[in-house]
Amino acid sequence: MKLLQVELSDKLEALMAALVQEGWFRSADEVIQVALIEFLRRRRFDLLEKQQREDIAWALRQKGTSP
Amino acid sequence: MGAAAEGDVPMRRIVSGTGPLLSLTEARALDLLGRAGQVHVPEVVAAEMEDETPGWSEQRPAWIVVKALAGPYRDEAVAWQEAGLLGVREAEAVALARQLKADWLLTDDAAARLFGRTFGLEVHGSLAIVLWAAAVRHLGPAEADAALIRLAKSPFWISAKVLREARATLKDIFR
Repeated sequence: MKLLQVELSDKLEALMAALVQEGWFRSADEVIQVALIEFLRRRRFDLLEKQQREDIAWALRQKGTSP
Repeated sequence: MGAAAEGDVPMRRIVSGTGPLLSLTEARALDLLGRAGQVHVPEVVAAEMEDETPGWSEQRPAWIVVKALAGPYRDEAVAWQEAGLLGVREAEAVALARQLKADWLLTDDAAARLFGRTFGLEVHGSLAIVLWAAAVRHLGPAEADAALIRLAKSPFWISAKVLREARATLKDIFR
């Protein structure tokens, strides 16, 4: 487990504190964790396309290399 | 498109998740993996392959090796899974790639690819295997194009746009 220090604007910090206080999350850590998971879920197909394009570019660079 | 001859197998150490194994099998392109190196899979991936393809454990090619996760790597896989960041199979594949210091981690899962990259692993997906096989001339132009089309019809997800780009890249590869 790594400890990260995250810089947030006052507004975002207040929003995060309110969400925790109202019981939506157990802690600020969980807010960040859920935000990351949600990002991955929502952008899954965009990410996949980007990664597949990276694979295409990589394969082209393998041309002429030894197997 | 046969498997590599004995003594001709590259020493590349590869760890694969379930996705590439299933998709490449369905695309009749699994042999290409054997030409890339020795493929290690975590136990949970082997179990899923057995569920999906009964008899897989007995029939799998000799170049696919099932490997158990060592303690600390198992713990990190469990932590990623419990945090909801990765599914169990993806978590174990990333952890096994770290344990074995794999040359390639193969996964078609976007989050696992990101994770693997953050740990300094070289991560590729099913598409890369077919294109790589073309680039190093394990496949000819027509074979490679047919394999791409079969891959697109397998469980592997690819948009029509990226498939067009991949097929166009074959022309550059064989130019």
